[in-house]
Amino acid sequence: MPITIRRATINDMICMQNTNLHNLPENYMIKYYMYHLLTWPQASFVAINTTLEEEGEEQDEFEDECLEIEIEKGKRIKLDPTYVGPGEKLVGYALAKMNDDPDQKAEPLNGHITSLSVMRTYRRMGLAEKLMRQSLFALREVYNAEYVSLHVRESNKAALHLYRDTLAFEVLSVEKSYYQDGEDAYAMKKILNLEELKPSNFMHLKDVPKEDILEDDFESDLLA
Amino acid sequence: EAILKKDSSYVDALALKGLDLYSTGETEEAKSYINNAISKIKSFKASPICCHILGIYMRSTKNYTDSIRWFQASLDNGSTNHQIYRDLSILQSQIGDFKAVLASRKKYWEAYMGYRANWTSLAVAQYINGERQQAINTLSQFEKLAAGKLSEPELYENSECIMYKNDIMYTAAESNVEKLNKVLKHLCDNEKDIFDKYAVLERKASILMKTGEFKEASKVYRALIKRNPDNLKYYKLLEVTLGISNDKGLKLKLYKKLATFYPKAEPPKYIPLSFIEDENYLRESLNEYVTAQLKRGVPATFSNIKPLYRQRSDIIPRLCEDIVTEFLGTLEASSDPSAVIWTNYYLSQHYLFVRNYPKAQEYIDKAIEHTPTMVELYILKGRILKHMGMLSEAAEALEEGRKLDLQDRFINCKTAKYYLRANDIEKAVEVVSLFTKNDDAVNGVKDLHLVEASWFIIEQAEAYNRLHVDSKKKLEELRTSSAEVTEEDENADSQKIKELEWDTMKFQGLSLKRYTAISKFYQQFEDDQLDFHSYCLRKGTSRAYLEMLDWGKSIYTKPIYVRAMKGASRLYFELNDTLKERNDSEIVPKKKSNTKNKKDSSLNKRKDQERKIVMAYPADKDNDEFGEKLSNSKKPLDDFLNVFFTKYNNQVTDVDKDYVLAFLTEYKLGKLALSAGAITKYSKIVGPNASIIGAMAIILALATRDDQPFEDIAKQVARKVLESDFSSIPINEVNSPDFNFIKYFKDNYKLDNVNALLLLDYFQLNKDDIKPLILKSIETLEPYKKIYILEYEL
Repeated sequence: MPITIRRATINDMICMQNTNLHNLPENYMIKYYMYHLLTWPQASFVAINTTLEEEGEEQDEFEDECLEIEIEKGKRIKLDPTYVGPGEKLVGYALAKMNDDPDQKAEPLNGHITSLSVMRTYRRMGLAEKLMRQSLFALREVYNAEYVSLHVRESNKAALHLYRDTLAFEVLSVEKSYYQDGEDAYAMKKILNLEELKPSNFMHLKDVPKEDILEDDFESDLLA
Repeated sequence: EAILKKDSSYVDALALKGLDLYSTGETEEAKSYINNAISKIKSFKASPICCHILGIYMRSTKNYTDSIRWFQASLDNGSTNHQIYRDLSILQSQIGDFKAVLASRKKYWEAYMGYRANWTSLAVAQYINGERQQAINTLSQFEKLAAGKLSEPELYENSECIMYKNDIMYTAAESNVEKLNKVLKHLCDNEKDIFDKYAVLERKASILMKTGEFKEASKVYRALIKRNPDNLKYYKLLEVTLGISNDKGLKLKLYKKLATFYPKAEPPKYIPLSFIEDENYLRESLNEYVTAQLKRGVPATFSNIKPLYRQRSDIIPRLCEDIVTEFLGTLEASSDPSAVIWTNYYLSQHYLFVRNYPKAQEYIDKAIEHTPTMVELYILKGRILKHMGMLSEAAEALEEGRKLDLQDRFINCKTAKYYLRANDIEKAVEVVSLFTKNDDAVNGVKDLHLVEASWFIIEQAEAYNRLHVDSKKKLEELRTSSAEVTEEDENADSQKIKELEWDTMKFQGLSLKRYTAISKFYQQFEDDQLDFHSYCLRKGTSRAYLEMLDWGKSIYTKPIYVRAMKGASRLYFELNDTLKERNDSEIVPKKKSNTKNKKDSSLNKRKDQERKIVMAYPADKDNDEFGEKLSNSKKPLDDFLNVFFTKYNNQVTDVDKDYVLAFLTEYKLGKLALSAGAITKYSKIVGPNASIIGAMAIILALATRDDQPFEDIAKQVARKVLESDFSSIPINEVNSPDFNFIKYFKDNYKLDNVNALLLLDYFQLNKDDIKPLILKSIETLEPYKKIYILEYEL
């Protein structure tokens, strides 16, 4: 299946933590994910590889097959740490929050990307970009964030490329020994503009001239 | 202190001293003061302060039920501290006593009406108790009070509260059209104040669907798709609203159109592949979809298409094989290296899927030869070897890949996992520790426990379990063979036996220890909810809060918990059986006194070295590094219930339940009636003729034999259930020595379910008859699974 991008829920947490532990050196306990998803429930997103069965007939066929080969029903969800539910494998996430540092009360509302990760075998599909676009849009639309900030390891070229070149973040400064292992971090920031951030703006191929871009007006007949 | 010196029985002072000690970390001493205080109190009669202190202490020690009792006692004894109601409601929420929550929330709300959080809390409590209308009224009342007075920072909370009210209205409306239209009106009237636009649109769409306004609903789904063109669900629902789910021609038109709006979205390109019938057209569309990704160098191209391989196994694998092979042919002349790599990679995965291992290897080798620096290729190379059952070689392949990118944690984790699968725990720990924080430890095991890294802990538990089985087998072999050897060899053998005895026990203990660690994580997840019962309602995020409560009610049914439980169950059952055997033969366990008396210095030395390596928790918090206490338990079945099964059994739904495990657990407990119940319920799901049902029924029937040690009454109930629900089982033959139940099983059930056969084998029924059946049933399995069954299940 194509990967579905959707909002993260409490139910995704354990798998988000698993993805994080597989890919990144900065790890958090479940409670930290809870804190994010229960304080800003609309800010974080996940990428799910779904193998949901077709509804109706084919579902029945599947049931029959189950009876025949006697798969225990509960076993339909694989006992693997990446599975959120039957046929739902979590392969990436963007964990976001609003800045709630009491020392920075004077600052305008701003968001922060705590962690972003896509399983290595699912890279080069633009999932990180899609997850980020949804999160940034939500931070602006739901939480009224004027800008968003994040940190990235100096050595992480792919992430730097995504943030700076694809998502148009600006590098603010280099923070010395930001990470526990002593590595420096780029502190990055992006001003959020709601109109510009609309995810559908980024669904068109690169070199298409503006006048050729088709947009759904929600009214015209889709089947004509 | 001063008071205690004067009067050492003054309970208030005792309790306070206890709490004080607890807060400074002297938990044991604290406990004795608290117990002393409690022993002096009769039927909760003490000063309100004292009761309050005891409540706080109990909460700190996570004894929530007692904490509630003492907080309640403080109020009953005249405390006027209204804060207690809030603390009470939090604890009552944590243990799920929502009736009590409602009463406490109400009291607290009455005392502090000035805070929105208290109104929201009350409404949530009312809602959970089924008082939907009251909940709506509570929320509306506050809205009226606050109208026009909201400040900027309160707007998000307000938005969440309005949407929550709409949730309740929607639930209450059920399928009543008139009510649903009111819910829709409420939504539209308040739309500008609700920031969660996904929620607004999804609600609108559901209402319009329910009220039959499909045209309007379709517009909403189009808006949702525009917001997120990568959510498959919206497309499927759009099909429904357009009434074209069964019209393949129109669906094709729809997706073609949508693809022009969202060229970079996957669903419009992918979904048609699942229904196009015309082979030529399907080939063309597949070609477009697959080769576009290969050209872009997408490693997951095969993963993306794999669901279609299963869903349309008659046609998709064949077409894809042709398409990609042909595509590779066109590539070889050109010079696009990325496409060459990922096309070979695709074909290798394709052949792995159809279990053509030589071809899978051929293509991955070609890819590696072409570009030897790509980490993903070694992961696949290893995966193929794993499926072929060559676990050490698989781990080596991953290791080769890992060395190419030492900065990448993903390949590091995968390599560690493969070493664990190959039972090379030492190397796995060495590798995985490169990314952990090893401040005061010799390796990363402690850190992985700290960061709740279930994936590693469970793999390690399983590896330890396999090593336990291995050394047990070796031990048995050595014991039988050493009975026949000359005296000279005997000493050497006895040393070896001693070491193997220790290994067998150590691996068993460590496996249990790791499985138990998984249970502890999930207990921690449950406890982690505590702070959020009031926090969420202060933030206004009641919708997310209710999701948390649902999640909390299913924690112990999550995949890794279940996997740990199943793995651990075999060990607990084994311990139970060994204890029983010992009791039956009434021989004082000789081994034990042996190991205790003889001071084996080399073994002890080894033990001390190993202790540091296996340490999972800080030294001052754990004195059972090897899990010896776990495997020396006198009540392994009780342990299994307490650590795993009861929590699972309380939460799992009838449909999802693992009835085989439930059957085994009740059987081991001697509760044949409940075992029988498990078969009956399971047969309703898989059908009475399923071979797993046959296997369970036969085992239960044989448990009713005269020489079986179960209680007569249990046997009678089991027999009754079998007679009524599974009358075909020849229950009357159970006591006849000549009747072969395996033959009966063979003649009456399908023999392709290896789990059913293994279950019969587990109960050691006519081993010689069943082994050939098992060997036959695993013939078609892939080598990896086959070898596993032969080595660890038989």
